[in-house]
Amino acid sequence: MSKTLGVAFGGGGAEGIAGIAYVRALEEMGIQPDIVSGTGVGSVIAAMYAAGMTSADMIAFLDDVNFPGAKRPINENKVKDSKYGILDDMGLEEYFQIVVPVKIFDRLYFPLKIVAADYVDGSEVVFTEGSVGTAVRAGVSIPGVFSPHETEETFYIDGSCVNPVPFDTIRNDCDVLVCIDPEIVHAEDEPEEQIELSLNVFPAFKGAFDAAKKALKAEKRKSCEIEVYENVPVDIINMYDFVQYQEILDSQQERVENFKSKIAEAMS
Amino acid sequence: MKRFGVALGGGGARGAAHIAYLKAMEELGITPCIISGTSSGAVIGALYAGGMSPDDMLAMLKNMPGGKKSSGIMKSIARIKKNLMPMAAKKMLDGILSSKTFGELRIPLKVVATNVNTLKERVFTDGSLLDALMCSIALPGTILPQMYDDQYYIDGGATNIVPFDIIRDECDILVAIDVSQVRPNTRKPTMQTAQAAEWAATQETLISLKMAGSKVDVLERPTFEGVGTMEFGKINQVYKRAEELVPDFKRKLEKFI
Repeated sequence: MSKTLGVAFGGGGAEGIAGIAYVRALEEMGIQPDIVSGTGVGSVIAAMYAAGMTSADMIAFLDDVNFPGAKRPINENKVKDSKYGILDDMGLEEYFQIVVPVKIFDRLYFPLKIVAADYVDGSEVVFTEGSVGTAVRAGVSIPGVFSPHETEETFYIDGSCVNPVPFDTIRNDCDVLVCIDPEIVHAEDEPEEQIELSLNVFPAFKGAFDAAKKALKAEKRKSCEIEVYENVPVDIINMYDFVQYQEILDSQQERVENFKSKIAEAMS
Repeated sequence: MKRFGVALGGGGARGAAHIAYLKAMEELGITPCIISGTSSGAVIGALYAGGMSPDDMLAMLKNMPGGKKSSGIMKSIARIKKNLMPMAAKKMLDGILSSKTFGELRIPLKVVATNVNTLKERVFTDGSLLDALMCSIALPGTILPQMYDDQYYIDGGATNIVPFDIIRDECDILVAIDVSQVRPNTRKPTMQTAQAAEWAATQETLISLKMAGSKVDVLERPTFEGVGTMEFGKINQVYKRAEELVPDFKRKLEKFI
């Protein structure tokens, strides 16, 4: 019997788009996962994947989304000034219901787990049934981008604050566990630029948050065996930099080849 | 004789609560064999490890310049731009630290900061105490990232808000005091409160994951209603509240003596 494959997609913000390059790699290898999980932008990719969309469909979706600010990266000051989030009034949930061909978890091509966090008590919430659109809306509620997702009981926010790459949610559902962990890196940053950045309070907070998420991932990895862990560096301005999706995908070409050989080895 | 280790968490003004807990331990005749601290917990830990009594610490904090009025985070941000906060903090710390290096301390101390270049935790155990503490307390928005060995550091709270795991192997009974208390209120979230909620959720998950890996014998998580991290004017209120909670803490400790 062949091995089963599970893929966990991370990526709290625009860097998560890089996950599509790895979906394409699996397609090229003729491999379909048996289960996927995701949070943040990773939850959108995981859901589209499980709904039968190809990487080309996903890119077409990005082409279709009319990002505010058009061809310019989104300025963090704009984020700071918005009360609920820059993309808040875009009706994501409805939009997603239209774009994604499968609306409920039961009908997906393979099982999907979407991770969000409860705004009120900070607990991790894993969506495995009901409306896919609702789950994605909850999972992708990145503060600053979308307002928290309101339900009768509580509000949901992006799950990457509690489980940045939700691999543990599918560990027991597959033989080969693959993690896609996109992180924003600025290779050219000089210390002087860092301190300049830190004078502007917002990125300094972001740095603190990135460090916290990194610590969280390291701690979670201690108790979970992972066959292929793909650290995916993404060089974009900030997590709101969705307009650069094509550059993000192009930047992964070399890594993807390496990824394929790791997958081939793990699956054999 | 059982060896006690104490981890003092970060939480700005709420760190004053550590004084009450250290005093309670003294009253039970417990002297920790090791102390770890993050941010304001590191400062209190350094003072205690240097030989200052809890009563003296409290008296000193009450007389601290600026300790009488509270300052919101936005005010602090305005001051950091003029570089006033870090300079004042460094001068104040230099004035109150009787030991200048880790080596001079009576009790071994571990101070946690976060490297901004690597985004990883760093534990300081030797060298200049003042420099390590400045790194540990460099909370974004209040104190500029601090340079140490050609790397920039920010508040240790980002990676290890209650650093009990780093002293687990060096003591028999591990005591941790968590004053992070970052949970926002539950009214309709705005972007700011949603970001605060993210931060809180990450911290809480990190603490629970670390607890799964290292057993904490006594964990105290006091809450202080309405005391913001930068509200140093409320130190008295924090201390009084901690005093109310201390008898219960003592009962828990007594089981281990």
